[in-house]
Amino acid sequence: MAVRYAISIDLDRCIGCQACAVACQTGNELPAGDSFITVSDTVQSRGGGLWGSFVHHRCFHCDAAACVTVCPTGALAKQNGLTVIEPEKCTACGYCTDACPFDVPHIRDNRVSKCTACLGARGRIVPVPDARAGLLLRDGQEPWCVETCPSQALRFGERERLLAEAKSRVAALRSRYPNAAVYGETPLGGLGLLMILLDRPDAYGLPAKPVVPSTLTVWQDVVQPAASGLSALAAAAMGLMFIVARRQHAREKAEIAEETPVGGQDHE
Amino acid sequence: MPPGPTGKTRADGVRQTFLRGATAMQELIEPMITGTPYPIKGLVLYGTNLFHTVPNVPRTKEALQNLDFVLAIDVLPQDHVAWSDVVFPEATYLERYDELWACGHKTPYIALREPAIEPLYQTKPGWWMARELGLRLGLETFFPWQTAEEYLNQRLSSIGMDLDQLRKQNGVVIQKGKPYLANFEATGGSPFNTPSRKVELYSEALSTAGHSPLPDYQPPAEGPAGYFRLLYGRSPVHTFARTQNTPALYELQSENEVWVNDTAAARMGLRSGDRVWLENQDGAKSGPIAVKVTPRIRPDCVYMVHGFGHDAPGMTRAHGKGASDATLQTRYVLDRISGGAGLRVNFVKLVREA
Amino acid sequence: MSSESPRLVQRYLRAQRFIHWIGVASFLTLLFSGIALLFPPLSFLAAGGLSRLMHQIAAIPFVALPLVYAVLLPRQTKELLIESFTYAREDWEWFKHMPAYMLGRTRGLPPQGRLNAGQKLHHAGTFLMFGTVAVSGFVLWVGKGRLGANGLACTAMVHDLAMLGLSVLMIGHVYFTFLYDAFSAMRTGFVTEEYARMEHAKWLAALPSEGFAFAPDASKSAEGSEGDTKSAAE
Repeated sequence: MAVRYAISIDLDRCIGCQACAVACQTGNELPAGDSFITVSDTVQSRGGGLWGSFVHHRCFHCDAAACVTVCPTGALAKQNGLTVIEPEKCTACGYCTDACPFDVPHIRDNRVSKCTACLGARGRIVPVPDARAGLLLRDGQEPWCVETCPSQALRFGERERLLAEAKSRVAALRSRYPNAAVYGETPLGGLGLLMILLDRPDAYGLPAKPVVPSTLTVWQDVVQPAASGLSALAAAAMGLMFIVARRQHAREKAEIAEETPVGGQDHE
Repeated sequence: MPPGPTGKTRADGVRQTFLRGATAMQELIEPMITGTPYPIKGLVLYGTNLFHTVPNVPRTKEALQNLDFVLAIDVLPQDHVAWSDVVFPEATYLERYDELWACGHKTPYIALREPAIEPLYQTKPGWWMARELGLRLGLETFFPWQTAEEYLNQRLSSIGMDLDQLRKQNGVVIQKGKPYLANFEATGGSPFNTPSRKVELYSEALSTAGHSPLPDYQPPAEGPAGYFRLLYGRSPVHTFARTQNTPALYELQSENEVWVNDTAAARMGLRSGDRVWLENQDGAKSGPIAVKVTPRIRPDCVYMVHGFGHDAPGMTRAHGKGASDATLQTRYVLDRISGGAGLRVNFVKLVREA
Repeated sequence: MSSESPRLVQRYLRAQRFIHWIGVASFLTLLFSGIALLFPPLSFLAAGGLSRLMHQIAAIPFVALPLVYAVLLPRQTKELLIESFTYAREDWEWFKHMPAYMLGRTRGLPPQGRLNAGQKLHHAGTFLMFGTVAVSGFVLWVGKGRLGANGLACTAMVHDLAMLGLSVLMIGHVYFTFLYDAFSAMRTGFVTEEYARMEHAKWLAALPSEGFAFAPDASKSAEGSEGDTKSAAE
């Protein structure tokens, strides 16, 4: 049973330095203008005062990922709980860009582009016993963002452990942030990116209960197979019928030829 | 006032206008222009972003023009470089050796700083410049080594090491440290260099030097009507005024914004994204800069991130982006103890871009 | 045996044949480039966007065809549309006979006009599905990345189902063509008199008799001179 890994972000520890965004961009050698991580802030007037938090926009590594569901070529797939990309398979059809409830994947240079937890072509997950239970990916390193974060807001590890730690962190935060919660425990089969939010999801522009719309599943799991199946069936049925019908038609033409001796030769 | 080690008065006024501290750069500007207490003829600016560091940029430019010789040594073609007589372009830290980094404190260590690549352009490392200048100034005896490696090996030999060994240890020698105060507890000494050997709230030393022994609150002066106090600060993305041209960071933040309180902005008919010029109480101008309307700033102040408004054409990305807070800081208040400059005493008005 | 050559009747003009084959080529290209997005095993065709490019390129002539037809043969276009959507009593009679027709028996069919009832239905279905697949395809093309999950799924389902319809219609079309040896109609533009009598007796009877049915050798030179015949293809 493959181990399920995850990344967690503690928005109370995050200092909005954007080192994760820069490390990701340089480490993954992304071209100018492209990025996998966007860090911004939200400030809201509340009860005569102000409330603010940093906001991260990046792949949530959903277990029941909409992008994986719609990808026609399998370029997007799950590996150990993370959503990875095989670029050679990508056709840039763009279905994933429409399907994602968080608007994460985008097309760049005719390929889908998004965070893959640094699991590139050579990346593999290697458990390493150390004090932080650090895990190695991508030639023996942690994901760039996790490695760089100066306030240890970003962590990588086995999902079960990160989830438990996130929950206890939230319990401690509740005294300061009554609405603090872990985002991602159950939605979409459980997210591979767990976020400790300091307030309700809508304060962050996040959907409270993200889902893969049933239309997508119906399209992929019902309509497409049915369409292929019915076409194949029609072709097969017609093929069989042809044998029978051809014989009948030949007989009919012979009958007609006997009845009308003049004119009407066989056709080509 | 206790005299310095040589008993002389230094041009920046250390121990005269201020009690302690390192050189107060901004206090050298007037002497460079007036020649008092003594004339200053030349200036070497090494790793100093002069026009973004020292307040009152117009006065600084006057000072530079008054000098006989200005040498700028920098890794970037910053704003002051064009005002110098001679420019030494320096190789970046990735292209050069630097002095060993020796750090004391709780866990002492010595670290190697070595080049990752040969210099990409016609730049030279600082050690090479120092040596070449030294040789031409008749100081050969102080430069008995030819290369940086020779120099570093010589230094490392004092702890029985050399460069190869240091490299094998990933470039760091970590030495056994001890908690900072352990010694003091054992020996009965004190880390506090005060007459009482304690942290003093009432300071005899300050009193003897002619300063108030207790902090003495002076209310801040009001600005002119229609002006806002100019506050400045830092963004986590940029470091001082030297990273605005770095591609990855430029992408994240290419310019600064002037934060205007939302009520004040509504009164002035300003919206986020509007471009304005900032003009201070002495007529110094900088801009154009985008407005950010936010409740996060007081109605009587405006705020901007430091380090933008470069006008050097060599800063190809940063050139002309945002406004320079340093240009608008024509006044400052000298801290009498450290010699530091309090810069948040300038006031600006917002002039809509035509 | 008498070797009197069969007499030929012109059924389709060159322009009509041309449009038909462009349609076939573009439809099959669209079909196969679309199928690459359906089966992961065929996904190698899609990687790098090759199949998508083919799909987009082939879509252009495919969608342009009705316009081309209308410009080249406006009268025929109008009559085809009217014919395909007009059903009379003998068409319903034909439909009753359809199971036997599918199995190769034409006896007992009421005499058919230029298009038999099945062909009318095929055309009508094709036009409707064509419109649906073209519009939904256009939405998918220009709306890429802007449809949202529901918009994508619904538009794609409409596109898929319309394609299913066109594919089934095509399978039936190919079936009947070869069952009843009608291929020559689109290959040369001509069919034998026997065929015409069997399948479209009413049409044959209504054709002007002189200068119309050609002997085979004369028919070859008539390939390029359909301008001076009262063409059957009206």
